[in-house]
Formats: sequence, structure tokens, C-alpha cells
Amino acid sequence: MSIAESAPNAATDTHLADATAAELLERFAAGTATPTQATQACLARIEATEPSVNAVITLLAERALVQAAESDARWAAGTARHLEGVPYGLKDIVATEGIRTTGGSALYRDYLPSTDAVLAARLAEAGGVLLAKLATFEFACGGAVNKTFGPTRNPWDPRRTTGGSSSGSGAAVALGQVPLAIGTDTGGSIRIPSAFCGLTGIKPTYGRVPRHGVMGLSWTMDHAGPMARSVTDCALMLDVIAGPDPLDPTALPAEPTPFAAALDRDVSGMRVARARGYVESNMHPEVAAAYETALTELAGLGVQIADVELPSFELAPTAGWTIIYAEMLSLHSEHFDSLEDRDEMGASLLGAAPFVSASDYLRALRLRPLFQRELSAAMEGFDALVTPGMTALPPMIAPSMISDVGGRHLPWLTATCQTNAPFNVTGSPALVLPSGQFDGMPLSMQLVGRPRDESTLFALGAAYQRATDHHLRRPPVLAEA
Amino acid sequence: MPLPPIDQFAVLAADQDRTLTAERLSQAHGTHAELRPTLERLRALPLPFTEEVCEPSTALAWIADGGRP
Repeated sequence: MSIAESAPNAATDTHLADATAAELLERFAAGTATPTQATQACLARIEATEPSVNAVITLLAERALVQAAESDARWAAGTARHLEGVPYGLKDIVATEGIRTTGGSALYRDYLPSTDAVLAARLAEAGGVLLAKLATFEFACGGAVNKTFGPTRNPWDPRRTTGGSSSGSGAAVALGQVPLAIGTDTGGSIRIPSAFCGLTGIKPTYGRVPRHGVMGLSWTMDHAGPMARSVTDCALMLDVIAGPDPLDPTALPAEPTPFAAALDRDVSGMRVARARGYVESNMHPEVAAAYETALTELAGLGVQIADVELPSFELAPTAGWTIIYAEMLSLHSEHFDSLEDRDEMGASLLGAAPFVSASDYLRALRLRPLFQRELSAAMEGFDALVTPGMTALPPMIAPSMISDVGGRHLPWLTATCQTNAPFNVTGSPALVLPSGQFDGMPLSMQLVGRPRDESTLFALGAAYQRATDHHLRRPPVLAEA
Repeated sequence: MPLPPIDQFAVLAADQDRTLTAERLSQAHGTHAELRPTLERLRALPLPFTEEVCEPSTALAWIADGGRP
């Protein structure tokens, strides 16, 4: 079925595409909207916006409408599940039974998995409506210029990248193609596109979401998690996909309390640490100024912000890359001979992988506790750590992208890894959320928690979003449409 | 210790039965040259031998324990 064939009739409430998952669930429960209407609205939004962004690799319109009709019936029967009837998208490195899972690569263009990834199965069992498999940098480590499926463009400025590697998830959620999407994050790949596209996204604690069925890049550093338009939606989605599974030996036990229970927690009196050193270095001055304003807003919630130091964190990205290179080579060893068929950035990364020694790899793994303990010590007496979500605006799309940090230019991975990669190394949960604008583009703040304490991040983030409207701003192209 | 010259990178690749174009080999050499200063600092950090256990699984235990020091 083409998009046009599945498009809604004139009675469709297209504003449903702008609703969050929580709002949709309220409307389904109240009987003022149905999953079929929401799915049709998202399909119409895809039809209207997809040509300008290229976020979708595989559209599942017909299948989604069948699922939505089943959800209509469940709501009518009073048997609705946790995400009953809510459309969502999956980054196309997440396996889906019988649905092609390309990895964003020509090498897997026609790959049909025989089983769902654990997280995909959980979303389906919770009643979610899978609407699309979404664009990704090739194997979650390529660049913005995907030579098989084309670049995904930033909805706020199509000349700029969404960031990645969860590029399609970023653009699709920003535009209302879906209210929820799954991203994965090895050095920032949930948080970078969330920050660049004005979304809320969380890299949960390492092991929180089972990785079985997700194409791996680096088993030590890989995380999967939600991308959405509110903290509430991230909590709702994480409640569905989190929890132990025998197919992933690193998966954490379930928490006794749902994450969504933290959303209304009083944050007044909480203490948040701020590390002004490495993670706040090399920032574009306007981005830095907006970050200061965001911190003032955070303090306005009754949160006390105080300085701490993380003296070794400057070395964390190199430790991370040492681990990623070694594990990437192991996971992608069979793809090495087709290196030159890959996207330029992915080829350059995999091409550098054979030159990490076993000694350096093992040292980097053994140094993870050093960074973890340093973070523990810095956060003693604090509830969370705050950092910028980004140091520069999204770069212009190019095979080798450059970030403008204000009169100086850095390789974009250097700029983005600064605030992101250290927390892949530590395995800490990290929530990014919109916190301002500059030059018509969204800006972002990051809250980092103790491992297994996503709840405090959700409490702080939800309080911030109750007090501000940064997360409600949408790409201007939607108003024009 | 300086980064090995590019001809030694070629030997390392050949030893692993990996084939890289000259351009890709040069790019890889450049990547590691950029990482070298911080890699050398990582190499200089002490790691315990006789005191505490500090293994890859130590990091997983920290996460599972909720980040207790």
C-alpha cells in the first residue's frame, strides 16, 4: 500500500500527529480519538514531510493500520495495554521479524530477521503500533551522507544534519511522523539527534534495555533507549522496554517502581553538580550563553547547582574510542573486505580499527572504573550532574562534517563526543532535553544520573518541562505546512 | 613513544589479513596520530596489580550496584 492509498480521509484530526504519546493515551481512554485516527494522522504527516527530510527507510502503513484497528477494539473492550495504539518507529538496526532491517547499509538492504529484537517484541506486546523503520547512519557508525538511502535532513534547517546515528528517529519525532522512536547510543547517538532536533531522549543505564536483536557496534558502549517530545513519553516508553532478559547477559534487573512514578516527584531541594572543565570546554559562545540561562531556569525549580571537578574526563572519549574501535572490528570483521562499499565515515572508522592493540583495549576497559569512581566521588551529596547537551549547532551535511564552536572549527565527532561519550564509558543514564534556541535551532541540556537512577532524571526533567516551554517548540516547517 | 610510521601500519594490516587502500591506510594513520597524545596519557595512568581488583567486570559491578564507590 502506498502512503497515498493509506492516507486519512477528510475527517482525520491531523493535530493528532502533534500529540505526545501520553496525550494520545488520554484521548484514547476518553474516547475522543482512536488509534486508527492517530495512525492515519501520522501517515498523513509522513506523506507531507518525508520528501524534505528522508527519515523513513521502510514504511509499514498497511500493517500499522491493521494493528491500529486491533487497538481500537482493545480500547473499546477495556483491555488496552501500556502503549495501546500509540504509533512508534524503530531505528533500522533493531531487528523486526519478517520486516527488512537494513542497518542503513546496502550490505543488509534485503535482510529479513527471523525474530524480533527483545525491545521490539516488548513494544509490540505493549500495544504500540509500529509505523516505520527509520533511517540510521550506516550500522550506527557511518556519517550523515548515507550513500544507500540518502542523507536525513534536520527538520529545523534542511542544510544541517540531524546528527546521528539515530538520524531518522530524530527527524521523525520532531516532525510528528511518530510520537515515539527507539534510538541507540554508543557515543551519543540517542542524545546527539535528540539535541539537534529539539527532542527529549534518554540513554538509559548500560544494561537497562536488552540489546538482543540490535545490530551491535561496541558491546561495552552500546545502549538503546527512547526518543520523544517529552520527558513523560520517555518514561512511558522506557517502562515498556526495560527489564532483564536471558538473551542479554548484561541486562539489569527490573526496578521495583515504574519510571513514570517519578514524574511528579518534588525536585525542590535537590542538588545538581556542574563540572565546568572539559565537558563545558570548546563551546560556541551563544550556545554557552543559552546554557547559562537554562541553568538559571533549573535553579528556579528550587534546585541547588554547585561546581564539581572531573579531572580525568578529558581522557574518557579516547578510552571510549579505543574500546569502540576494538569491538567494532570484532563485530564487523566479516564486513571489512567490503569497506570501500560503505559510507565514507563508517569506512574511515572501521579502517582505523585494526590499529588498536589488545593492550590498549584492555587498559581502556580496566580504566572504566577510574572514570566511574571519579564520577561517584564528584556526585557525592548530589542528585544528578548537569552538562550541556551540545556544544555547537548541528553541522552542515557533508561527508566529513565540521562543528563551528565560535571562530574555531572542530571535527563534528570531537565536538559531540565531548558531552556524550564519557557517559557511555561510565554506563551512566543521561537525559537530554530542549533548553533554548539559537539562530532558529534548538539547544539542549543534559542531566546525568547514578547508574540505575533514571527516576531522578525523569523527576528533574519533568519539573523543568512543567516550568518551561522549550520542548513545545516545533520546526517552523510544520507551521508552513 | 611516537606513533609507528605508516609502513608499520601496513605491516600490521597485512598481519591481520586486512586489505586497505593507500588512502584509507593514510587516513587511519592520521586518526591514530590525533588520538596519540591522549592515548599516551591513558597509558600513563596507573592500574593496580596487588591491591584492588580492577577488571572489565569491575565496571559492570559498579553499574549493577547503582554506582556505589
